[in-house]
Amino acid sequence: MHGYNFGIVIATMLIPKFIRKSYPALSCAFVVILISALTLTGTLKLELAFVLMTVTTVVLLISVMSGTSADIALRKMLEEDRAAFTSTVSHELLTPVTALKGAIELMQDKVLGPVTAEQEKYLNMASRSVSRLNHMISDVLDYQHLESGTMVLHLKPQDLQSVVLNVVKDFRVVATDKSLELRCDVPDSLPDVTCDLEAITQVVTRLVDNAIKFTDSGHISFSAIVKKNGFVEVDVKDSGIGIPIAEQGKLFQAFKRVSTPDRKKVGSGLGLAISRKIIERHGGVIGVRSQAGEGSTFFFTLPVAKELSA
Amino acid sequence: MTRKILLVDDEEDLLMVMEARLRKMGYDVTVAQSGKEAIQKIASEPFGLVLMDCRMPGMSGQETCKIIKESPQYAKIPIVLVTASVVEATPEKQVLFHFDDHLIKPFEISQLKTVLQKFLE
Repeated sequence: MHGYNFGIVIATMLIPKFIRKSYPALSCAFVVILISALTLTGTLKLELAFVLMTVTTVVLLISVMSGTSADIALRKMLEEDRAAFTSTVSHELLTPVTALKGAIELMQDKVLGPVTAEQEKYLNMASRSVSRLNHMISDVLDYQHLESGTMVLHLKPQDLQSVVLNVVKDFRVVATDKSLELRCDVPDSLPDVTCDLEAITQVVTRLVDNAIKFTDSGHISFSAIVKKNGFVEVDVKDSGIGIPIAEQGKLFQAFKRVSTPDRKKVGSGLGLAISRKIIERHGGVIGVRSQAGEGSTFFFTLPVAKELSA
Repeated sequence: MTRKILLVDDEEDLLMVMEARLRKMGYDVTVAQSGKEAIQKIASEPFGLVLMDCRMPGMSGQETCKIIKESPQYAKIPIVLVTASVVEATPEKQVLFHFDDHLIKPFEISQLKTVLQKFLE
């Protein structure tokens, strides 16, 4: 009888804690040991022990395969909390950013009176900082939407050549300023791909933006091929500083920065993580082929659009 | 058509900035700091356009919009929802709350001009 009481005490003390800490396998193992001990001391009949063991094994199997329902509920609650938190924080941050941006623009446009050259210099600096802050907040929001699955993709057949050409057009001036050649070699014959136009435009934009940031001379060029697996691969090749192989794993992870020679060049640390999520939502892959000092080629794949039979 | 704009936002700073900008563009601006105040102002004078913030204490921008649009004498006043959240501005929500267009905060002056031209020119 002594063994039985001791077992109960241990069970109430330990099992709830194990379950709370979501170690279902450990708590089941504990129950198995407990049943064995009780059987050996003669407190439990062999038949009953057999039934209990079977039940425990089933519980163990179910919980190992799917996680306990308590775990899932807890995880879901945490995710919902985090989504609500991000949305509230972003809103609270965007409201003052909007007021700041508006006030700076009013002064820059001389709506409130004349502005000296010196003042204008500082207003421009404030404006750049506000726009950087704004980009960071929207990156955090985008990432959260992708992570929680609340970002809805509008999938339609799209012509990648025109997507790339439109982005290239937007970066023409920036590239020319750095004396970089920015070229689109995506062939006319490329079949349409199934994608969300806005999301893929965002990915292409981020890739060109990065390529320009990390390339001081030479060229940036786009090319695309159809692969055997029914996907189109788009390559963005630059003659920039390249990325050491050891650092490449970090590239597409959120908030992990690759050490860059120039601190000024860093963004929110989310750009490539967002791009990865977008491409993966389309069923494609994104990656990089690069070596330090050898330039980089970023690539992503998208499914070829299925031809609609008339 | 009147060039009178009703600006609805609970944030005083945003009202100040927007009011200065719109006045400079030559519009006549009236401000309201809540949904309730907006409805009172609409009942007392004619407006060509309403720029409505979405998150406000008390009545939200969407609720206010729905109430205005469901009263026959004011249903024709265009209402533009101003929100920081893309999720609030989906086509489904636009149909649900009857707003005519949206601006995502923080918006560019060019975007504001496009909206003003669409409804007031």
